[in-house]
Amino acid sequence: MTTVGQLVRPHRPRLALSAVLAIVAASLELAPAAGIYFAARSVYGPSDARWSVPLIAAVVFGLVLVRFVLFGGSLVVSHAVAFRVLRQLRSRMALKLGTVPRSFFDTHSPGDLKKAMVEDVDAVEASFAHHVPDGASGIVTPLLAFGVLLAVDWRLALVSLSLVPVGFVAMAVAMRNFDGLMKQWHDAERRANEVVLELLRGIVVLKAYGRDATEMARVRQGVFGVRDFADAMNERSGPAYTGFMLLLSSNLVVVLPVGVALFQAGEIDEPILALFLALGYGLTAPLLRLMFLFGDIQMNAVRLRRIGAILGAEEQPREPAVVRSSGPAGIEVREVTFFYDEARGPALRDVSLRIEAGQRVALVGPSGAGKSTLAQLLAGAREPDVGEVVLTDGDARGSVLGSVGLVGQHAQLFFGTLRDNLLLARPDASDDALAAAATAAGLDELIERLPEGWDSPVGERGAHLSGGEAQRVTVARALLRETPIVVLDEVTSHLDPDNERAVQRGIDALARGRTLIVVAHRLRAIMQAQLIVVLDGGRVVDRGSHQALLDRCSVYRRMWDAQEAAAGWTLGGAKAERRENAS
Amino acid sequence: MMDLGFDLAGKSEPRLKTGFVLASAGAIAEAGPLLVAFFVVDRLLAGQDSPLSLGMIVGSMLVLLVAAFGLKYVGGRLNFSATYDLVCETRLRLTEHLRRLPMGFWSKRRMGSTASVLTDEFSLYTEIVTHAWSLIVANVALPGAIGIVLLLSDWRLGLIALAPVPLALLAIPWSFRLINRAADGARVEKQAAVDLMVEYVQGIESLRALDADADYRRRIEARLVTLEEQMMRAELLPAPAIFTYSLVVFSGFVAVFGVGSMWLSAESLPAARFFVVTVVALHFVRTLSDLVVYLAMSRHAARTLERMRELFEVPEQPEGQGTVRADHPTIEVEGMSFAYEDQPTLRGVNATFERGTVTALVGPSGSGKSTLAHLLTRLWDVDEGRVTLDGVDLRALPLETVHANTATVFQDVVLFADTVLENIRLGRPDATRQQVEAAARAARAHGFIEALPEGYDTVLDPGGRNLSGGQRQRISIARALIKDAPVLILDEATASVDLDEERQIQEAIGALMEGRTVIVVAHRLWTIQHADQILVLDRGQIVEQGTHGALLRHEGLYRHLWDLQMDNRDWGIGRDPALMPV
Repeated sequence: MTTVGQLVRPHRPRLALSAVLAIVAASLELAPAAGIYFAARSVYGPSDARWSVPLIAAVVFGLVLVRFVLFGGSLVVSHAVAFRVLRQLRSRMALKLGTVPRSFFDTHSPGDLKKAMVEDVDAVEASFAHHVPDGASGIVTPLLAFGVLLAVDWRLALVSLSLVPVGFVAMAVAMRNFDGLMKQWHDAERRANEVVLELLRGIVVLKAYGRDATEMARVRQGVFGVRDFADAMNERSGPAYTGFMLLLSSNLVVVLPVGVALFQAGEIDEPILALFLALGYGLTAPLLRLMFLFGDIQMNAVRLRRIGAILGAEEQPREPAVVRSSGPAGIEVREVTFFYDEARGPALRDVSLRIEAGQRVALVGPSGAGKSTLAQLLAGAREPDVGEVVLTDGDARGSVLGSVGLVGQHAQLFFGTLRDNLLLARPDASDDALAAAATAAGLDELIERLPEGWDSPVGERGAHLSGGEAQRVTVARALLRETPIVVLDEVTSHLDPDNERAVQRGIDALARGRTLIVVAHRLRAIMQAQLIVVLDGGRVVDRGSHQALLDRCSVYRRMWDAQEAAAGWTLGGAKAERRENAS
Repeated sequence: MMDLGFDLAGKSEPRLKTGFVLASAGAIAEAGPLLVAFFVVDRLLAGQDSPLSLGMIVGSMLVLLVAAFGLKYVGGRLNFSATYDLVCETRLRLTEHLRRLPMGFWSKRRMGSTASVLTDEFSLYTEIVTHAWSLIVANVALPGAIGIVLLLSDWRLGLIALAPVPLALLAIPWSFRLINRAADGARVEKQAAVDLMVEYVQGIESLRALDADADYRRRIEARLVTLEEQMMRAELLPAPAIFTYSLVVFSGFVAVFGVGSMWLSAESLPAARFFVVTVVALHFVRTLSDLVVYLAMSRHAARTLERMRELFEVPEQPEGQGTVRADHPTIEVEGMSFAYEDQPTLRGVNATFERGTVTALVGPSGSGKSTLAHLLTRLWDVDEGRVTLDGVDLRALPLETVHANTATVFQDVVLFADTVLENIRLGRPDATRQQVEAAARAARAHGFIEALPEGYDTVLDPGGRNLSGGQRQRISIARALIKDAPVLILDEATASVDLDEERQIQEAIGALMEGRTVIVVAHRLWTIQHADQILVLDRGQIVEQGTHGALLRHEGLYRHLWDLQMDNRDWGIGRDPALMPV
């Protein structure tokens, strides 16, 4: 919140200008009623105070013109500020994401971040663009009008406003537990959205199984939950809300009888009666605007808090950029313990591991053993809670991030061309370097096939490429990075044979002149690694060569046996055997 | 001018009409005090006695206030409830409509934009139209009623006050057009900026690992600057229309004031009448300007509405009334061709899937093998040729019959954030708990389901995130088992499962295949070498066909793929020939 405040501070003069313009415009709203009053004075008043009534009409028209222009000006200024603030908020948030520690992304999903950066910031627009002019005029106009009326006749002035307190009591009743209700409403909305989104994502299964979405109880409940909430809300707050709206626009109901009584008693003259009849409604209408505005402000408070939480997140100094080296380097993990979440215990505990320059190392273990976590620690993508990861070429903890390349299971591409996506890894790479990396990663065939070759757009998040093709691009990036150490996290899982072949060749290329660390499921693919590290439950349980581990490590042997058994399986194999036996 | 899309719900809602009538009556009651004021004050200012006693004035005011309150509340409640009911129904109806479209409708891009129409945009649409309707209905009658008071007060001045209204009504469509044009420009710019930001937050970790986030931010900055300009432009563009409208509406009051004052000077209008009419005209002008604010509100929903109408216009898959006699029908494909997004995917395919046999569909990626499998269950429809079940064209059968005869296990398992029980029951909604458990047992899923905190009644995380890939797949196999359809399609069912869990999936699939016609799409050729029939596809055509042994001897594409895979299987780090001397 404070950070949002700091960002707005330089805009204060312009916001003040917007408010002043709005206030002047709002006071001109009284001009027509004033015109009627002065016209009546000149008709009914003493003959020495007569103005031309058509002239008064002309002045009123002029003032109303001025009012429109001023209020328009106020909105233009406030919008200019709002759009600038929106831009600044977004660009600050983007910058922030570049400096927060990696663990920040464990608690803030891309969906949360998108919501904050896109939708929450959008909603803030109203805070500046509309709330300033509306708020200023909503407060000042009724006060000014009330002041004028008091000066003219205090009794009728009080009567004019008499319904306002009643209206606000009604509103207070309607708004009881407003925060709680708003939250319930958002929850109902969110549930409806979730149910629908889930259906759309699973539409292929609903089609295949012929299930009518509208008949599924959970879906109906989710979607109609919004209506049910609206109904309940209406039942609860409807009467008070209707009362509030009506009372604030009905002061004629009290002004007329009292005005008539005072007039008949000779307490007020014609102009005053006309003035109160004309001004009544205009006195209280701005309060309505003010009311809506408060509702908006309360809703926006939640959004501002979310934005503030991101802008105020703790930062971590960034490591220096890529350190290129001509040869492989060694790396050492020293007594590292790492938590994702304190409550769930450590994901890695007391892990120590020394990897020599140029070694080819495999990290294996059952699902959840901590293989990927260790890979990320090795690549500097996460920071250990206890212990350290260092390059053994010297004391260079700071350069782990720059010296280790990480290729993950899910290839991440960005909007732009194929060339743009490779250049991300090394903006100054020459065409020759690009071509060499592409060839080694098996991209040549893809480049030939794409209509515009290197300059073909890959689509939003790489939508135009298959998963395997995207994976080849990430391998090519790792090649371009020329880091002395490369960590591969299951890069060949789930690829079709063609892509698998290409990625395998790419890995062979990466292995030349680099230290290679791979996370692998398929033990056959790593059985010839120089060092195989077996993890289980966050600990290193053994390390050695394939043969040594088969002989002495039960975890490793179990995995090997299971995979060998699965590898021999064929669809319909049992039936085929029966067929063979029968013949 | 005011399309709120209530017809999309596909049902009529009588409460809307009642709500409209009641709210209008409420507005008339709200205008009532002005009429009373006219009669009373007109006389008083003219120096005559009030036609109503003070008590009668107070009484009439109270009656009108209570009437207005009652009518507005009841009407408002009916309107609010009815409109919410309609939009919820629309949301469901649109979702179900989308389900009835061929899968070809969906693409990555489509998924995102369509999902946003039905989620975030829909929430906004709901809020706008439900409120706009209530407000418009409650406020359209008010200026109308005051206009009548005006005409009753003095028909000449009344006509002068009402004269600009048609003109103002012309300015509304003009301003809407300008708003739309301005919004379109800003929307394109906005989408581009949002796409960049979304990509940035989704890829931030990769960007940081590549040290490329600063470059990416510069792209975002540039976009944000243009977005700021566009949004300002969008705000300024409709200003002249809005200004004109406000001025035109207001000119009604000024005209009454001006003309009246001249008639007053000419003494052709009594002073009392002049003041009462100008006061009423002022109220008329104010309520009319409020109405336009509410009308303008509905414009914000117009785009979403337009896109919903477009979606509803996409034709659903047709179905027929034919019947299938056999309990276990044969599937045949005759001269089938199919194009996806104008790219021919399958051409002239003929195949027979005999009852009780296992057929494997293999081929390089993009050869059309998955598409062929999906055409058999009408996820898509063929462009040419036909698929028959027991000799009957699938399109001549009710979709229900097609679904009753086929079950598919997909590579990407879809689980809903519902109980395990309901997730399995998706295969057969009327299955008993015992049947569900039996299916889970056969699918090797019973054990881990029982170990979940509430067993079969455990509500899964969205997408089944709290389960492993293999566990998810076993639930989907149980789902197919309980469906008990004669034809089973396995679309890469084991491809996304970790090796540690593969064995259990294999057993589960073995159970599922018992006694069914099986069509399996497979990458890993060694798993399908015992299939009764292997169809080898390449670029949308069946290029080879036969058993594993025969195809290997044929030395064609199948042989090539087989050798490639055997080679891949032997690959390992540290086995690169270039590194051997190390």
